[in-house]
Amino acid sequence: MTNRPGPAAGTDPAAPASVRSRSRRNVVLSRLSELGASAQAAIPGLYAWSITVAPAAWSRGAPTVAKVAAIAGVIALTTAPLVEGAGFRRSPPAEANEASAAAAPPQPKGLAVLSAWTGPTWARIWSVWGFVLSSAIVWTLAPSALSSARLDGVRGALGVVGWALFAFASAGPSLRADPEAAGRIIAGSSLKPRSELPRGDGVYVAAGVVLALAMQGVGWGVAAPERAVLVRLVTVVCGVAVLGATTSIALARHVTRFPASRRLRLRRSLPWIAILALFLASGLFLISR
Amino acid sequence: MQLLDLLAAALVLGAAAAFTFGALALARANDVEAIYFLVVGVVALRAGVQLVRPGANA
Repeated sequence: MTNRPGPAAGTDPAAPASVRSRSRRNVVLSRLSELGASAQAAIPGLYAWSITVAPAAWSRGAPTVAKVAAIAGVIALTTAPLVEGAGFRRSPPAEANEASAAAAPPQPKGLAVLSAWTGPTWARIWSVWGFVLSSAIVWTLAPSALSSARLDGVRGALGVVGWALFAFASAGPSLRADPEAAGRIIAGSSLKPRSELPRGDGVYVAAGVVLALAMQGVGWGVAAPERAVLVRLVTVVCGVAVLGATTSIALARHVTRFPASRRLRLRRSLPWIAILALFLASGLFLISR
Repeated sequence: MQLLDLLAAALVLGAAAAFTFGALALARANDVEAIYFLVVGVVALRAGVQLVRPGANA
């Protein structure tokens, strides 16, 4: 493994464009990794909200309180990362903790107590309970919206998946970058692949893919469903066969242990070429009649 | 690239064309013509692969 360039390297104007773009990408990834668990849980939570809560709150006959509760759920989801981030900003770094261990800050009083309700724990409470309770209120006020007659089965299943992802993301701690990981990196030569893709193979495979895809454009205007399915099946099978043949030809170029002589190759393929010539000749004969 | 490799590539291209003609014939409900082109495609494909196959066995 090699040492990765830090974000500072990306600001060097003399660095090549590829290095600068890689550094920018690293900065973005590092910012994303610094997001807390509540921010990561907010994405599936918003998905679950849009599928299961919002349609119920804005269904016909739902009271205004249900809409307000639904909006409160969204606010709980979206403001939880702020609560979590405020906690991180409030807690001083470790060196400062050691230096000011003797002089502890005074306990907040009155409304200032609210500023102490920050950090991952409070963010999780705000996110999970705020969202779940508001959703429960919506469903209680508009129970008919979740009946099987009005809720589509696929949408309901997707909502279950959304809620499961929200629960999973809320339960697990967010993955953060290990500050000591950089010290464990051993600088050395870059890793070499065990084998390299031979030059030209990609062209063969790409040609096979193009041919196979071109076949899929045939027969889309067939009116009879049975015939349309048959055409689709045949074109898919033919495409797979062509792709397999081009791959075989590409692979055959690299087997050099026992190269077949030109005479052997011709003798081996001669029956097939003869059958092909026979078919073509019979086809031409039938057309000319 | 040898001459046989070019012939193999031409056979594979011809097979793809035959498959396409077969599918078009199938879409027109012309089954005999479709079977003819599909069989021609299979044979051309097989011949192309046999042409480039290495090894000493026949």
